[in-house]
Amino acid sequence: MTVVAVSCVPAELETCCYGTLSRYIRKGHDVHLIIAINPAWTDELREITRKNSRSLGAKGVVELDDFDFGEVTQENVQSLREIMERLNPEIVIIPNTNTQMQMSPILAKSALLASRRVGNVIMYDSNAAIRSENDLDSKLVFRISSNKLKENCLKEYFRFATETRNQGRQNRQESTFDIHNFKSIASAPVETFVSQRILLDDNLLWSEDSRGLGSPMTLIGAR
Amino acid sequence: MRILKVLAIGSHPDDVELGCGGALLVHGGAGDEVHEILCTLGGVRGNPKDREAEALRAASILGAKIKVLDYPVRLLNRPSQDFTKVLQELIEDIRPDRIYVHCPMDYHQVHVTVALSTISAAPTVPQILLYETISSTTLDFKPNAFVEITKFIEPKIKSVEAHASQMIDRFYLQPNVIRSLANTRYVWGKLGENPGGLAEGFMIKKFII
Repeated sequence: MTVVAVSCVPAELETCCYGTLSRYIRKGHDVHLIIAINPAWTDELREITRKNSRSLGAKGVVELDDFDFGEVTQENVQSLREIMERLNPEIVIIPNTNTQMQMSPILAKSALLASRRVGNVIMYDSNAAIRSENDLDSKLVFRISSNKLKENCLKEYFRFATETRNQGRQNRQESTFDIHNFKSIASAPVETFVSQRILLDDNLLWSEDSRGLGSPMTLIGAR
Repeated sequence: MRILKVLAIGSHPDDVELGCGGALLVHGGAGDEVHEILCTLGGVRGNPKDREAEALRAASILGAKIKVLDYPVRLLNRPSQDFTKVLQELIEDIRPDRIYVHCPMDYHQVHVTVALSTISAAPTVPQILLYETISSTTLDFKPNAFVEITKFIEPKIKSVEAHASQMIDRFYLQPNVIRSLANTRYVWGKLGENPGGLAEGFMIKKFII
């Protein structure tokens, strides 16, 4: 089976989805990433994303260079749809359509339209942090164990931010990477999503690898 | 493949059949263990003994092990500690992996009570899915999880028809109404391009994988 994850913000997939994507890769599914490029993406950041995708074990990264972040356009949707038709995913993971992150809502809505024929569409939370049991409300919650992978991937962005600051170079994402306490993010035991639609009876996609992974209260208490 | 233990909770006889009967049949077909809790034997309509017999027959069609509580309906106009405790003990005894229960966006106060009480009674159950009852669920019900039931529509309809005492004057129990909603959910959920495709829709309350 094929899983496609979509983003336009550096480090966002690593922060919000890499644990879940790693789970799917371990189960034998193919994972592809689609990155809509905007001015925040320097050549170095693009290279970090490609490197991290290789660490993850993703099949490939598609970089969309001509995405129009001004509005949801026919061209935006068509370019995403062509990729979806080529990859034919069973799951598409997109930013939350209600996110406050700058350009993400346009990408999210475009990706949702492009995924019209995809059976399972879920949305990641860009600013997700599990504080209480209530944060699990109405959410898909994936227990993850690939925290080291996330930490190593996020460390790459932190290293980049430190280098560019030391070199006195402008970096749009610098403040974000400083604020991103990558160890804290990487150590979270779960990743949460909101379902647009999922097919419940597909055990290949929506079942645990094994029993005994603990109750949700245990997950919260373990932080 | 991992076997699930699922529990469906309904307020009145025929709620589970209408709301998630198809999903329970899918679970049974996959080898999962299916349980049902029936909270009451109905309100003012029908003889309780007849309704219990009908409920047992319907559960048998769904392949569910049923526990009939026969809780007094008049005590379910709002959630109570007593009722939540009753549910909690049963849930802890069954230890389900997944619960199907009413959506609290419902005009019927008993459905709301059962929904909210179940959610309170099941803090450690990893998955809770909310089903619709076409007769009373409000338009705030927005399904975001679906089960295809095309192959199981006939036994689902049979499980509803097992409630023979209700079939005469409850239009929403008729096969064409059940099929119509199921077809809408199939198309809405983008499950495929089969014009005769059928599905049940659920709202995710909690879904931990």
